[in-house]
Amino acid sequence: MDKLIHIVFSGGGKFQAKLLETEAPETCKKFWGALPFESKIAHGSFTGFTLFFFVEFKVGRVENPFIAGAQPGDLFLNTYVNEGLLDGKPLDEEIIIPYGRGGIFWNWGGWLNSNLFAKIIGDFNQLYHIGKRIQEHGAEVIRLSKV
Amino acid sequence: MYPIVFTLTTKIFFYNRGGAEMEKIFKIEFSRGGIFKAKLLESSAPKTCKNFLDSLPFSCSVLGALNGSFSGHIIYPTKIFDFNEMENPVVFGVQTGDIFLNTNANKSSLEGEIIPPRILIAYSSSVILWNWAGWLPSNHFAKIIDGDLKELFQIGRRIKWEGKEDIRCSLI
Repeated sequence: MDKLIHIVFSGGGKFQAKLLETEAPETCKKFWGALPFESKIAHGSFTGFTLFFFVEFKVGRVENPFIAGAQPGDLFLNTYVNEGLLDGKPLDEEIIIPYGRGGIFWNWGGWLNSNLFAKIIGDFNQLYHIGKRIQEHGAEVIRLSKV
Repeated sequence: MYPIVFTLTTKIFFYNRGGAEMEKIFKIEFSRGGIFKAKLLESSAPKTCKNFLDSLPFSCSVLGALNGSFSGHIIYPTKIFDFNEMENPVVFGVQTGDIFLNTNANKSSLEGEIIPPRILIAYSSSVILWNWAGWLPSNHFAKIIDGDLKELFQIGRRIKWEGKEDIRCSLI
């Protein structure tokens, strides 16, 4: 049976997503174990039409990795395999949600092979408008929970 | 919210007996704090500089991402320019405080519209100028020469997390 999650944006917008346990079992397990939680979600700087938020759990391994070909509504865990530092400090692992196509996962430290571990089921047009809203107005809170 | 201000001053420097050489400086003010001065690179990008000069003073919003965000640590003033020739193009090797005119050299479109020329301000050197349609060689036409570049980095992050700021223009 597929594991499903709820995703809610504080500025408006609700989705469900399906975990890809076969493709990314360790990522799904850690993510599922961390639910429910909330985080601050902002627009990416390097990766195109993407939103991202930091997580408190750590997977620390690459499984089902992508740097290109992301589709709207895919959920990736970026484990910062390139070990790039910001302000001299390592970054927490983060979840990336593309809201459009064409992005490539990279930053100043190189490629960021990220684990595709879930897919949103639903209205990508609404997701696109949420992406544009955050692009313009800044970060929101995202809440994730088990269905 | 308060505006960002782009203002223009002109500095005149006299060299030896050879007369005068004019270096054009403009001021950038961010509404939530932060003032910088930038130098136009007229010998490298004369037409772009002229177009930019003609537009001064101006006001606009500045965003942390526009049409997605592919290029890294860039902020995006939203003012649209009417100059789209390529001149002194750069894709790699960007430095903090470099200012570009993105002429949309790759002819990308979004939501059915061709993306118009706009300026880009790099707030760190972690920048490669591109988007979903390919490289975006952009006209390097100005450089920040006065102001704290660490503060500029914090301003870039502030805009990304807190959203756009407003702008206001005035001549010095």
